[in-house]
Amino acid sequence: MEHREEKLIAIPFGESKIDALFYHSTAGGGEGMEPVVIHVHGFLGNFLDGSQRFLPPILARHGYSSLAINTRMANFGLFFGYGLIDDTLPQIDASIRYLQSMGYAKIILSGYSLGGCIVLKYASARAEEYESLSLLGFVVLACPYSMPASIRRRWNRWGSQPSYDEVYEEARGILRGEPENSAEDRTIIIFKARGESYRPEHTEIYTYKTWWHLAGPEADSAKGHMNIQDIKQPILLIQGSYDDVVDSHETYELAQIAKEAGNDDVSVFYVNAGHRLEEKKEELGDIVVKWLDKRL
Amino acid sequence: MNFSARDGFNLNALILSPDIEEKVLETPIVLQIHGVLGNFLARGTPRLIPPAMLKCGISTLSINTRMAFMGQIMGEGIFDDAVYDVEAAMGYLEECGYRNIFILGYSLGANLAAYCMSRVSGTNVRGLILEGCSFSLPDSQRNRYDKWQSIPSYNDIYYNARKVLGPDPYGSKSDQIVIVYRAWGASFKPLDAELFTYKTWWFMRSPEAHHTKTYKLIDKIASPILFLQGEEDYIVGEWEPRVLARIAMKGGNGDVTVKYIPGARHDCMENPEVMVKTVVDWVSSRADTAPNQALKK
Repeated sequence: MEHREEKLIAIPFGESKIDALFYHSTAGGGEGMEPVVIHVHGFLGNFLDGSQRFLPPILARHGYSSLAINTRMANFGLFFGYGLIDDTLPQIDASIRYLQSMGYAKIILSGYSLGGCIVLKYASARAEEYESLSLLGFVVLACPYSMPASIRRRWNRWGSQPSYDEVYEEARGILRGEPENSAEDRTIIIFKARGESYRPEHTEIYTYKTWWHLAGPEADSAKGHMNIQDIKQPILLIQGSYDDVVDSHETYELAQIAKEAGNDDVSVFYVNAGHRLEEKKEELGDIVVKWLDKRL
Repeated sequence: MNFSARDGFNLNALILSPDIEEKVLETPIVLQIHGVLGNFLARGTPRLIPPAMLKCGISTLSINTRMAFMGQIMGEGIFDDAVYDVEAAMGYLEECGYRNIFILGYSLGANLAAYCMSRVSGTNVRGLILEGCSFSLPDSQRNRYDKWQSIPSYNDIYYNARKVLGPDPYGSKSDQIVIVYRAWGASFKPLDAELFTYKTWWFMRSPEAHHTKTYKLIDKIASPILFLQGEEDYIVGEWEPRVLARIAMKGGNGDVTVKYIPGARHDCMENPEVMVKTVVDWVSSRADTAPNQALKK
């Protein structure tokens, strides 16, 4: 018994569209309970991959429908110059409007890794609009305290080639103070960014422009710790206890900042898993379901 | 939907079929294979042809092979292995009981479909549609790199690939991502760049990538073949499908057609009316049940 119907949809977005996979829960008689959960993918991800693929079916079993979206940062957006965090915000607006047009009035926004950064940025940027956006809470999975700091630390740890500081200097030279409109942008490869070898899995790819907006020292949109303090709705943070991409204390510190800023409903869980959380899919799903059940 | 290839690779796929469950297995079905960095939602043919076929009573199964998305960039997109993905999809359709199976390969997917069909004998596939099919992927890339004076050059990549991969490229544990500037145009901008790993390049674009030299294997295909090409294609030359067709016929294939689609470039769905009519007519005349008849039953 699958308890769900999956439907590929294209959400209108200006002259373009947002590809998404809608999971309509049929548990308990067919009408999915509210809230509905929007899932935002991680680094180079898409809705066919990772937690945005395995979590919706688990939620559907418990009556919650999901919408997993591909933003501009999906797949190789970072490689070809158009994957910028700030450009994903209107896409999330459009996704929310789409769900509202379907009749949903309670929406949760969930993001994994880079998607967590996007969720925190969105929640901060739209902090005055939660009611009109029907937003009731946020789920943040394996999200770094600050994407730029996390990337710098990781590159320094493995002795990346080129180094973080070298890329910063090159980016400044190429972008010439105009990261939004540079006509000189180009794709770059960073070896030994995720491990000690030159193999593809230890390599990262950006353009100077996408790097600047995601990993550069001035990439404020990617600094979760700056954005989380603006959020006054319930937040659920989950991380793998042996995550080798995001240090385990980062989730704890994000939660502390939210609490100190006055949010009295911040929950933190660690599961016995790595960065992708795939070792504990069901446990992760149970945590999210219980959090939804109790609060919403 | 998902299913696995023989080596365990998990494929995502999208099936679109008419809402006539009891007759659906008689309906012609087109197995669709995407192009470079593509997927079943990529713009153009991969995204547009399934709903267009469905309106005409033809089902489609669109697959994401291991070459989809970033396969060629992150290392898992080995062309020679991707044939397992096509075989798995064919096996799935046969197991389901479909009796009128066709394959449509777009761009890189056309070269992959041709390689796959050159390996099989006694297949149930009733026809092969090759859209924007290059005569030879290695030659095509070498010419393009020479034209734009790529950095590094084709020969430099070949030299470096041999050095990195060693004497056994397939079994090599050593691999690296390589970026080629000025691969698609005169600038250093991201959209003119191309990314591979040395290993994926070796099996897709190098002088040793024998299975992507379609002219060497097209004469082994016995099934009917329809070559489709946009009249304004700027990636594949006008002569390429014509010469491939001649080689196929010389090999003994008596059912080979070449059709140029007016008003279209590399993606023939830039002229959907002509493209869809061409495919529907060709499929209908080679299936043992025409699309509309299946629906009427």
